Amino acid sequence: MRLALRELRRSRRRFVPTTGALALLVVLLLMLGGLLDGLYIGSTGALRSQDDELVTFDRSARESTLRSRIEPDTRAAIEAVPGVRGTSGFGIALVGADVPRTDELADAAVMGYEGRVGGVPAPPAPGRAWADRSLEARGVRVGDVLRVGPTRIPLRVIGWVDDTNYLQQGGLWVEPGTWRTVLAESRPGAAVGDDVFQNVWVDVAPGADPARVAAAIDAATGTTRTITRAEAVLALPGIREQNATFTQIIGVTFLVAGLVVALFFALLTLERTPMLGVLKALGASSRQLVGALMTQTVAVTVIAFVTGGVIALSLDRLIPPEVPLVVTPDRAGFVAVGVFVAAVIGGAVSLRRIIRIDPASAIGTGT
Amino acid sequence: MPALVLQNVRKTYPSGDSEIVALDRANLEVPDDQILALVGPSGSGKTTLLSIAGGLLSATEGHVVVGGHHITEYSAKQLTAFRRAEVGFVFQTVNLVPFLTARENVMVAAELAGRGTEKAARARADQLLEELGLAHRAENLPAQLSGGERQRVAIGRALMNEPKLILVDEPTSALDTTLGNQVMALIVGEVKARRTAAIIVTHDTRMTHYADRTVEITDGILAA
Amino acid sequence: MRLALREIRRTKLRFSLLAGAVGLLVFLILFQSTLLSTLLSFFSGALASQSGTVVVYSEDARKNPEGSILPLATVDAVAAVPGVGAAGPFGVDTMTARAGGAELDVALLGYRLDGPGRPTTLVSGRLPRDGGEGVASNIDADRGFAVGDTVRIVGPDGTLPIRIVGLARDARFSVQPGVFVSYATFEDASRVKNPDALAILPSMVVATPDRGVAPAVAAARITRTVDGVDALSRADALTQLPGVAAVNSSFSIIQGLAFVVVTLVVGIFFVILTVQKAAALTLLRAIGASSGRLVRSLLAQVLLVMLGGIVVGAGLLLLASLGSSPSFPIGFDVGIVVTRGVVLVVLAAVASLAAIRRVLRIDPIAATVPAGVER
Repeated sequence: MRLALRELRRSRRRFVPTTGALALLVVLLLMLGGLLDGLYIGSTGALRSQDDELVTFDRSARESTLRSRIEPDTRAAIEAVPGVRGTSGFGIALVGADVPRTDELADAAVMGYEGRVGGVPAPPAPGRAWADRSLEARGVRVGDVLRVGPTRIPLRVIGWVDDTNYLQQGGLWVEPGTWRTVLAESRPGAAVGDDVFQNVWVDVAPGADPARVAAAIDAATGTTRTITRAEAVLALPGIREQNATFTQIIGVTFLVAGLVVALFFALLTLERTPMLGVLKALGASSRQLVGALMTQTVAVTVIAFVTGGVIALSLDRLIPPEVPLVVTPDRAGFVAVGVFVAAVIGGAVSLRRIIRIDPASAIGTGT
Repeated sequence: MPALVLQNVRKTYPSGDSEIVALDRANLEVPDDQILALVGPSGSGKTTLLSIAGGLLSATEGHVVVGGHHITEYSAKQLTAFRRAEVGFVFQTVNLVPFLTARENVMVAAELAGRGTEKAARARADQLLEELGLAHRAENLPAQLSGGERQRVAIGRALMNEPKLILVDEPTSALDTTLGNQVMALIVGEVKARRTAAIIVTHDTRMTHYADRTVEITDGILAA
Repeated sequence: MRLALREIRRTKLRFSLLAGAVGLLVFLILFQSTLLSTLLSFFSGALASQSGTVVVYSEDARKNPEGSILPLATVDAVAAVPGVGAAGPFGVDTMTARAGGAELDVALLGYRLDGPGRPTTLVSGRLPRDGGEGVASNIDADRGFAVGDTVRIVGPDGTLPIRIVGLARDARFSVQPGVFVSYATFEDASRVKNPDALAILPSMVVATPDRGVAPAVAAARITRTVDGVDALSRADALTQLPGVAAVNSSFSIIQGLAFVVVTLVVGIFFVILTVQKAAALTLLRAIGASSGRLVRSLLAQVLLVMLGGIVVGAGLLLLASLGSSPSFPIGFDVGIVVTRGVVLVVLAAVASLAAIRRVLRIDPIAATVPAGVER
């Protein structure tokens, strides 16, 4: 409706408060979502990147990689189970990595693997490592030798991989022998023997049902617990609680956004009641005025979203890299739709008031 | 066809156990090119009569016919369309739309009828502004216009859709004598040129000589 | 004041809408603070509520308890540093335990019974007196950690029973139920978990400084004097826990934004209101009301709206806490309500400056101009 948009353009100051408040709420929502996504992505990359569908833990480890042990004979038993095409050993050691040219220690997760990790090339030679890109932000360069753990074991970085972190620690992907050495020297109480891994990732044969295969594996070994990759991700410490916390906060923020819009549009309607009365007297139908209101709500929302988005992206640049903030297009879309729905519902609250405005009120003080 | 016919029109409001009678058995006929001055003190019911004639209020009893439309039976929707097409209002407090220019304010009725983008509508608005001496103020917002200029824009708005009946509520109450005379002359000139009828409500006896006929109203009762 | 109240009574809808919006934003702020502190308590509550105000990690632990391990001799070395009153080992390890009929993870926290490291937030029962006794986190009482229950640490070759003799607030660690035990019990449990372990070493050393010495000062001295350690005050250790720092700083930004939104909403509402009342205010000034009187009236309304909003927000928080699940409790902390409330009232007063400016600009002579002015 042209009149509606013209009012927005000419009486800009009247709409600035609503648009501004909504824009700030958009920033809030993008930041909250970005933090949740960043925490999730930075904690779970190493697991999400695995090609294989199933992963086996020692049952007593209760789905913690760091506490699990899979002996070679258990692994042989797993490979004998029908539906299992192959297995890959996997283990993690959490250490501090001495970054050259600085006197800082970066949090790193040294991961021993045998291949079959998406985005990560075949295991390098001993003493060499593929490094997660997040370590670049800490000052690491390709070719650097990182000294990891209390005994400063040297690892040479030969290239970058993306999205392979574990619990916010930078991934360093090495061949299994190197990993065992790092583990033994950083956590002597947790050392593993040769050919022992913490996890075994299981490649399910095409056509086989992963759930059945998992059950079969556990039945065959009697000492393991096999779960899917998705379940393993959720079992990581803190993931469920973080998700729950942030989802609740995000939900409440959406609600507040809708209600703030409702308030401001209610006030705007109140303010403009005399003018709306005149328009009705001149022959504007309630439907036209409601349509105008909706047009303005949509326009305000769009402007607020764009403004909020720009502010959020600028803030993202200012925030130090240690803060895990990732604003994904999915998240932006989710916020856009949510804010739009909240704003429309909020604006609709003024509907009844508009319909009830009496055109006779346009005539002076009525004598 | 007369511009307005009121037959035994009565308007009452309930008040506790009894009722307030705003208009009592009004009978009035206004031919299609007559200017009628409706005079009376505060609270006499003149604004009520105006509101009923314009389809803003429904009568409690009686018949109202405006330009052949029997609006007593009209639904709210029909009244809205009726007001858009058949009646022009000039309110006491000027009530221009604050965020529209003078030209856009004149064209508001056309805009509401969905004809705002038609060249004919714009040409007509410009012509009206010219006649009202406001051609040079067409792009100004109400805040930038003087009281008299705003009043003239309101008159233009009232005439835009070529209504059968113009209803004017106290047009000179906020103006000095010179300005008041100017406005009345303008109203009369425009109305006569278009052979439209007008009812001008006023308590300002300086102005009644502009009308073809004067009717007095007191306590809701029209003088014979 | 009477004027202010009368106006509120006559235009109840407007003020209720505003108080409602403010209440929701206040709820948002309180809800975030509460959830954040609960989440943080899940991660590090046990460390926060143990008595040692100085925490000593191994040098390359990157301030991460789970990456830290120290030789026992460090305890004496730390105790010998001038300014340190007492020091003791603090062992932290995640173990598998059987409790309440289920097997789950617990964080076992071992400290020397006569030294620093004991839980300070006991809510029922008592501290452990000898081996085999433990203090658990009160949130987990229903899961088999109530006073009188026996929890068993499970290992490949056997189990170790621990009898719960007390419950403490904020005693979880790494989002797991925490159990404080004597250091001797901690050593026994570690051997049950890993029978092949060669030596059981403490993760950290915790210490309390001498009277009159600030923890941060003592910590700095320890780091300088003792080899291979990185000492911090307990407060610093908590904010620098891996993951916690990140969540904390982002939440500060988010809270800051929420405060800004509340301020803007209140400020703009009162400006709109003042503009709408211009005629009435002008009239009042014309008949003798002083500017000061009108300003005070405005501030009174701002205060009332904020208090109303804070009551609504706190009320919503109370409802949320009553309806929250026991595994993720939303607490109602009066302290948080009061501190946030004070900040909000101050911000609202600042926000009303724009409206106050308008009130002060009113010229009483304008009352004599006749009506018929563009509405």
